[in-house]
Amino acid sequence: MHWGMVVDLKLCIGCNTCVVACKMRNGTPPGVFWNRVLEEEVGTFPTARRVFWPVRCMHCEEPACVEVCPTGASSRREDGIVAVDAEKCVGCKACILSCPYDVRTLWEDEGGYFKDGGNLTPFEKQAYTKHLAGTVLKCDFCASRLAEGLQPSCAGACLTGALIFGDLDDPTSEVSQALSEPRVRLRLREELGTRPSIYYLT
Amino acid sequence: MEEREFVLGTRQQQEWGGLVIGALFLTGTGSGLFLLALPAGFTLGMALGVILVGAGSLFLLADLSRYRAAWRMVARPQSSWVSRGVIGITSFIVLGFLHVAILANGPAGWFSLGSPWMTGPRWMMALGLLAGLAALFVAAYPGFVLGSMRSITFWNSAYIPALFLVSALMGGFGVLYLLPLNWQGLPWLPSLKNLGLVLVIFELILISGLTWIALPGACRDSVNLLTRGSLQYHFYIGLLGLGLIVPLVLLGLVSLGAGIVSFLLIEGVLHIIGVFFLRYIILSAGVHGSLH
Repeated sequence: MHWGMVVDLKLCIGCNTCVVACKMRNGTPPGVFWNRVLEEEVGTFPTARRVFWPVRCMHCEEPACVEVCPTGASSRREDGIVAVDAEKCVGCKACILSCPYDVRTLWEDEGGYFKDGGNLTPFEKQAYTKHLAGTVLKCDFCASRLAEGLQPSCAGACLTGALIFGDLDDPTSEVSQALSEPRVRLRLREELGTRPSIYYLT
Repeated sequence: MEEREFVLGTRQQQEWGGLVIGALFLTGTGSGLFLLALPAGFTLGMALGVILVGAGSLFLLADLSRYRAAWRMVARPQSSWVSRGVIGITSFIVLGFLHVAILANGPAGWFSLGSPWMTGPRWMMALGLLAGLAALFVAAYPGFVLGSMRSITFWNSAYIPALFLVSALMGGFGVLYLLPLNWQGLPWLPSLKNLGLVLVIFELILISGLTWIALPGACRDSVNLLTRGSLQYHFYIGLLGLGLIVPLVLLGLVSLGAGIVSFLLIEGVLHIIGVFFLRYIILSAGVHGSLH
């Protein structure tokens, strides 16, 4: 079992539905995004266009974050998910510095989105129980949804089918099928030897 | 909360700031001082070295958001340089403290200079040697920690551990010069001056190498930050000017005669400034590479 994802850049329209779905599912605090959609302008007039890059933890096979973590809080599970054990995390930020994808955030401020009122909303109160202040937060491919047999919330919410999730070890899975298509595929910052589990089809 | 910007392109690191720079400054200076004081059997110097490293470790602790769980940081020496560093600093503080405590209670006392520890019993020699090795590690390990951060290519350089080590020794010189010692009575003062001169020249060569042999991309962006960007004044004035070139000129020009004490005081302050700015610019110039 090796969970992975294929992102079809031709299908992504930059709607940020995946970002909002992730926020809703995981209740990430202000300033913390487990995924986001970055925008790039390519070409020149009259053939200029925008390309949207959905980016989240790459769940690398050789994770730079796990290597530098001094406490063992960051680890790679047998199913390929790179996870953080909040109880072990001391907030040294070494993993944030080492990660080439800028997908880890130290959660220090326990405030909510609506600071004028001074209190957390009922949703925030409930959601924040999943996180520990002073620790690093990151995408875990919605491990709790996977345990229920569901897709990660971002892939499930994607309007255009640009995010394809599945088992990279299973040749019949949708991700493996997508990767077998005769298209150019790439992984971000592959030169660093991290071997990400997220592929981009251009 | 400050809004965070996510970008596809390169970005300057903001994760390790003032507290880590302060920690590296104190641990570097302290370990350098210990390394210089050890062969001279200078107990006060060694004690100050241990105190400075201890103070630096408090800075490192303060930078953790969950410092009460800091004991967990020794759990991964097999892969993490941060973990190895914590073990190294702790070992140095324990071994250095023991060594200093034994020396201070012996006939040499605090203010002796030139009473080598090697004339003592064999176990004392072993303890001093171990403390010295730990000090050497504390002086150089930040370079390896930075080198293990794969995202920042500027830090993945063999020059950086060497720079940290040389600069730590210069910091040690800096503190030694500021201590109220009878410098003119020391028979090995000319050798000390020559060693200081060699260290300054060596650091200049290492910095030239670090800034000239920079790969394209984020590494080049880091160098540009130093040479023409927001860190140029810190680099040219703080590190190269005050920290290296002025001390080099002073060391070259001033003879070891009258007025030696005021000369050494200025030299000491400049060395310490150089140690601080080296750490400041190397950490601040860390740039994460572009995502694709």
